Amino acid sequence: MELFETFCQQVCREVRHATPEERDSIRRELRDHLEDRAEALQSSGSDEEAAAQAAVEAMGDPAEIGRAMNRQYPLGWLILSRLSGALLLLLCLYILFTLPLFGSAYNNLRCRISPSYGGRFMSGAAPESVCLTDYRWTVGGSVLRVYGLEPTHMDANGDSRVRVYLCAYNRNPFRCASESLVRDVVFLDESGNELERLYGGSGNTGAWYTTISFPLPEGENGFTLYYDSHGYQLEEYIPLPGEEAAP
Amino acid sequence: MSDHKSVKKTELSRRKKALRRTAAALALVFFMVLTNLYGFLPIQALRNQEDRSGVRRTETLRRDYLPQVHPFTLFYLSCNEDVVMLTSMRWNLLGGWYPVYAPVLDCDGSEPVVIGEYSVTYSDLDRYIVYVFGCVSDPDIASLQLSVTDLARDPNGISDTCQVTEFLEAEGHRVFAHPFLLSFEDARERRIKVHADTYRQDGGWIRGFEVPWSGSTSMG
Repeated sequence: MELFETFCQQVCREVRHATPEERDSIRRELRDHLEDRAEALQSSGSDEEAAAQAAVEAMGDPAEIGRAMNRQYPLGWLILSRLSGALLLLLCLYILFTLPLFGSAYNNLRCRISPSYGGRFMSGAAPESVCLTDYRWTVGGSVLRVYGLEPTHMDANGDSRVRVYLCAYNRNPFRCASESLVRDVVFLDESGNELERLYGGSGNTGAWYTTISFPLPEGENGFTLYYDSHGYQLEEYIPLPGEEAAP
Repeated sequence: MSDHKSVKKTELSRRKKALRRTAAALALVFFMVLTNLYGFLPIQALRNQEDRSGVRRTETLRRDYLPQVHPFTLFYLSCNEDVVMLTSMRWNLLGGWYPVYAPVLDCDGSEPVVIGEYSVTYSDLDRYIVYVFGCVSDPDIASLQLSVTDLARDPNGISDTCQVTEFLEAEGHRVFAHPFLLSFEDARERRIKVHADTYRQDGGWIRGFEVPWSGSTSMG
């Protein structure tokens, strides 16, 4: 009915803080209320037009009703809802587009579960000559792991050398592994002489990999891994596979 | 009465919706911090650099923002009981704050003074930062005189000097950092030498030495 529609429009015009959906809902509710009232008046003997007019008049001033309703629609919550909705959408999109960054976490987990044996980072399986080992030392937040030893690795000149496979990862898969663990490690013989030192590794922030080879002095069946950097010390004897644990 | 109820319901749903969305957004932010997906704060970059450098948690002593050099770069001087670290970090929209480089000086008290030089260049600018930082363990050393010379320009002339008399104290160390902001007509031609002299309280000279290079970074 046009009379009801005009009344609803006048009310809604004042409810400025409502969204279009909320305004529709107000309009629907008001119309239902007016129709119920008009019906009740009609059943008590009034004609249709008079009943509608009476129902509208009984509601009072539409502008006043609208202003009162407007106060019940707090703008602050609406703004917060809209802003947080936009932020939520933005963050979801960001996470979606940065999923490849979780590759670092994957590398970290791979380093601790099934590290690579290839010459290049993240490629290759363990060659037959490699003895699988699992020495792990926690240094601060990171872990240094010796995961393979090749006691008779032949270099280009045909000399026999020991080859060591190392990797480093952070205890938290989402954090950076210490680069220092594949850079500042020194290998010593039983007399404490330097055999070789690491100069860095390949990888990414999730895990660092490196391999190194060096000749062992005659009669020695192991070597010492020595690390002393930025307040952390580590000195561990590593026997060759099949040899006694300590000299 | 029913109008009042429905309005109350609307108000509640508005609040509930806003709170739910805010909680979800905060949860995502928390997730991103936890998984290191975005550097919301510079301190996250510092923590990442500590992990990467393999040092224990450091205490921040000084933050330098040099907008005249770059608007989105910060330098953090921090230390723990073993090291002094100067972390350069940058911000970009896609990654937030991330560490660029951090020279680390071992500061275990075995040397009376440990000083490092860290150079930062910007390819699109003729300005150049030479950061001189370090720690003093010898209690006899009361001040330091730092001087920077560009050997390419004038082998005998000093480009800039700085007298360090006040130190930042933390973890039992006396720590300092000073950024020399230098300009060059052609920064590629530079040959920087940093010299340090140490002095006693009475002004007596103790010793002088050339500061070793600790690293350099090109900030793009």
